[in-house]
Amino acid sequence: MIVLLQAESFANIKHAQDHIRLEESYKQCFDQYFERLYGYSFTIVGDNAEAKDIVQSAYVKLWEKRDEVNWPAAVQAYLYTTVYRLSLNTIRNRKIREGHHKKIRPMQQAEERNIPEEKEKSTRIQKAIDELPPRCKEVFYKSRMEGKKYAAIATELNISIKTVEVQIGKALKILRERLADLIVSFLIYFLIQ
Amino acid sequence: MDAENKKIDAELIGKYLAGEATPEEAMQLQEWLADQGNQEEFEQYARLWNLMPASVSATVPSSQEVWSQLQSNIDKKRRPAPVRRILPRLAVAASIIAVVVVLANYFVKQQYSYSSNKSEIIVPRYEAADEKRIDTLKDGSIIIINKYSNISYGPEFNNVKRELSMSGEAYFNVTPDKSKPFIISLDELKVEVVGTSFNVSKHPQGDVIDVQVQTGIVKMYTKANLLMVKKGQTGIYTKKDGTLKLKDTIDLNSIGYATNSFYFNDISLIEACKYLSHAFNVDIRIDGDKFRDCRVTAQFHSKSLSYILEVIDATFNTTYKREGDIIQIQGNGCQ
Repeated sequence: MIVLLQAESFANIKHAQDHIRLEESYKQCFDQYFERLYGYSFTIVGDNAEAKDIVQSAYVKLWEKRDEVNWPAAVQAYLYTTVYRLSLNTIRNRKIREGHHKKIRPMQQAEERNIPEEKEKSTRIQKAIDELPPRCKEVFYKSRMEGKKYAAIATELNISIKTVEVQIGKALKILRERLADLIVSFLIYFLIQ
Repeated sequence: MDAENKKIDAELIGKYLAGEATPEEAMQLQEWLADQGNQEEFEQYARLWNLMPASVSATVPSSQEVWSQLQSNIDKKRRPAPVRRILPRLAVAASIIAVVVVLANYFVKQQYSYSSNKSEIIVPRYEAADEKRIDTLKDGSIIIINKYSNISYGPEFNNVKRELSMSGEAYFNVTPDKSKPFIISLDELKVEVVGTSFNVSKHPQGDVIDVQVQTGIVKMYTKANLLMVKKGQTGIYTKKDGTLKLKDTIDLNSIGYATNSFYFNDISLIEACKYLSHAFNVDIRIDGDKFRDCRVTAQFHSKSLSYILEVIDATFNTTYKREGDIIQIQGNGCQ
């Protein structure tokens, strides 16, 4: 490729080259972080359509702010922070609309489990939860079954948020050991597929 | 404990799965997940999480679908203000490249066929022109060739080696490729690099060749001598006695034609005008006596010459007049 230039238009060409590079780098950021950001947003909003909208908005904002964001060093932090903020806004608005925070479809999946094998599995899971230490079980139940935020659980049980974090972590560790075969068999099932 | 060094454990994973993780924690977790073993551990927790009744699992949409939606969203937003200014300019610039490429390639093809009849090894790619040019080589390296300068290489460039010869002045941004050394010949002197950006200039009057290295390492050698030139250094070859000398500085302003950046750090205005003349291929004339004591401290990046001249006018209360390539700066100076 040969480009013959007037001295003055050189600035524009360089500018254009910078922008082509920026557009490429923008696409790379999309490929690199899209799934992770989606997963992150989903943990907060618990809704596929909303998570998708949030991640899209975050990328649109990144494009609009491309001249301000320190590229590429600060891009990841910018995207995560934006996704976090948008996700919190979404659940706050939902809370105002519907009066509760997290979308929960109570027992819907359990109802689908009519096959004996599945029934046995859910009984086992239920039993494993029931056998957790009392405090641990209480916190885990409020978080996982009632879909309550850590802060809400802390206030309700008059404990610190840190204690909620510790108790949930403890519950997960115990359940992971007790239900190891279920989690692993899941994996094998996926591998066969 | 420092948040950055926080251990990833069931507690943090639980926090993440429960939608309670801060952006910093989410990033930390993602970094930790880069390890395959960790990924497996995390997935076990995630499966466990989804085993619980009342869970809705994430279904990641196809990234291609989201990407195309995203692009149309951005396009819609391009119409109103700030984004818009830049993009049409981009489109114009792109079309200029396209048009010129077609023309230039046409001439190059003719040269190729002419030379292959004479079975020459090196095909002259460019005639010395009085404009600077940008060239992207087959290997992706970018060369900015200054006015009255010349680069030539054969059709076998990038097959095994990347060899070219040059005269005059050029700025190279070389794509790293250790398997194919990049070698520039200037008479008996050879300059070899492995991915770097640097400037080579042969002074028109004397027989001195400067190699200024911006990044990376460059090897300069003749049959008799060898010199390694590192980032921020200048290698100087004197043809008369064949010596190679090293200087621990580079003159960024002298390569302004290629980088479009100027770092004037308390230099005289007259000197600054020399750099600008060289970079923009013009002749800036200024009264040497009146302006002898004027000093400039300023940085310019990707600015047009007229912009820089306006800044000078505003600073030194001067007026510049341009006629073709001759620019006259007039004023009372700094006495």
